[in-house]
Amino acid sequence: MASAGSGDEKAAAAAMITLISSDNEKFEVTEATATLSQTIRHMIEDGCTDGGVPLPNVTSKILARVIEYCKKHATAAAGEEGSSSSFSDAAFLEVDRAFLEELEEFDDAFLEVDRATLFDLILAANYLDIKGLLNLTCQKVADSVKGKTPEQIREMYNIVNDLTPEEEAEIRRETQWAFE
Amino acid sequence: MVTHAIPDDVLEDIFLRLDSDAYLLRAASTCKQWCRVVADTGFHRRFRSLHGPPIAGVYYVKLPDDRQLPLKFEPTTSAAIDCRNFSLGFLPDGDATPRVWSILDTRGSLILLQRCNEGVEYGHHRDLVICEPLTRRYEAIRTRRLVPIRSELIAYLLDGEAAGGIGVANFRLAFWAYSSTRYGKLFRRNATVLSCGRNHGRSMREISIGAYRLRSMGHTAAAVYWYTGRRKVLALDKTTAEFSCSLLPDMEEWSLSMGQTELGVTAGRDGKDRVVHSGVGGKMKVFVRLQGSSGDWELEKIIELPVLTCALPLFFSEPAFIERHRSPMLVLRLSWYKPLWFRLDVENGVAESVSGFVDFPHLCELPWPPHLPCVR
Repeated sequence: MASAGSGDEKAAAAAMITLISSDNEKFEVTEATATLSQTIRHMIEDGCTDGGVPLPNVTSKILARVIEYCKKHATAAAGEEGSSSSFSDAAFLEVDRAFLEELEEFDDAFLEVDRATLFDLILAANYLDIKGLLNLTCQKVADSVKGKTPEQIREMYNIVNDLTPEEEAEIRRETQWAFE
Repeated sequence: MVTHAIPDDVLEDIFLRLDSDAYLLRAASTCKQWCRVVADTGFHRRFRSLHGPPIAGVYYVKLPDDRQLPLKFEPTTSAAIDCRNFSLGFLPDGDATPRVWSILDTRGSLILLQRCNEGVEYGHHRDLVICEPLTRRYEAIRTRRLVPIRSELIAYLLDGEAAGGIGVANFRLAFWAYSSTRYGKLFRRNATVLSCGRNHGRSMREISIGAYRLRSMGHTAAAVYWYTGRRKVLALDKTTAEFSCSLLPDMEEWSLSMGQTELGVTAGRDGKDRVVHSGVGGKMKVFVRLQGSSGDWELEKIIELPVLTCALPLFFSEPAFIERHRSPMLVLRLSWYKPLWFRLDVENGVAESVSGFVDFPHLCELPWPPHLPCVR
């Protein structure tokens, strides 16, 4: 009895992954959530997740947000798989639509962050290789840059202008039309 | 500091999502790293394959009776660039009324213009100008010494000798003098290709062409075409600036006199050029080249104009006259006396009635690739 119980506990524990942020905070997540990250998926496949996954490039603040995103999208993926067999087509489509709408709302709300956090999220999504999150955040940056002047872009993303005056003048001379 | 940690490939992913060249250039002048990513030739290729050619808009010339008006520019909506940038006011007499400049050809971001000097009966005083409206630069080409007296001129813009298509510091100009006779246009034996590179460097090459009685069939983005008789097609490739000959398939219509046939060219959406032959009775034959841009032509399809246009048979007693239009379209005029006009999509065979002469839209693109400094 006792041995069987510990076996169950082991199985449950195996489905959980511990992620360790750069400032040493630990996050317990399910394998389904963690494997949205291709980087972590490969680590699990290689069997090197025992004792937690250190993520030296991601702070706890950003990792918490990334996990929030992954949890939502992992349940979305699981929900889709589960529902496809138990509903009729019409009902399935209805559920699907509601689900996608909810997911879109979540994504929109998720992106309501300051610009520095947005850049950190991009870096984390790139490092952890989470396609959906990278797409979402890159699109957000692209949309925010459209129609802005270089000065506005620099201010928005805290970019230091390291172009020499000559280089800047050369760009302006050749492409003045793009700035009017 | 924060941004410099963003890897180049992620930045590229962001920039590929910008849908206007103007936004891209503004991003490029933010900092060195952003500039470097936008200046990369691999990125240029990916950006263009995603967003298509950088079409800024079209210029309309209109008929001679509209000569009082300046050239009209219509922007495409996605370009997001101020329309005033496309005014030709920077040219000498660019704002004059009546208008003194007429468009001969456009390619890439360049426009080839000719003075429409009505006082001069023969074209030998009509100098040419090549300009890039967006950067307000132009080059004048004096044709006086190159074109014999009492003769006129056809001229086309071609890609430059250096790689990378066409630009204000990399283009070629092909021109050819002819005299109009009652038997048609008599071309000189030699055509000239003028090559312009960086720092106004110019070189000239004369090309001897065997035939001199030619019928212009028009041009597409890829080449200029002439019919030289006996099924032979002469083509000037707009990328390589080389002439080549090819053959149309054998059919009885070729033995008819020139007045009983009309010829034109257009390009399909597949990028392949088509020769269109219009004969008496409203039958149009469309020919396509067997192997891409080289090789001979084969019959692709026959378009029955009487069925398409529902016009009375008397409109087909002479061949439909072919006007060039934006590929794959052609504009057709049925009958000289009380003409009917149609716009024909050669590819899907849809004809649409139009109220009168349709002006040819001269496409104007944005300068590409963008000229950016080499930063480290």
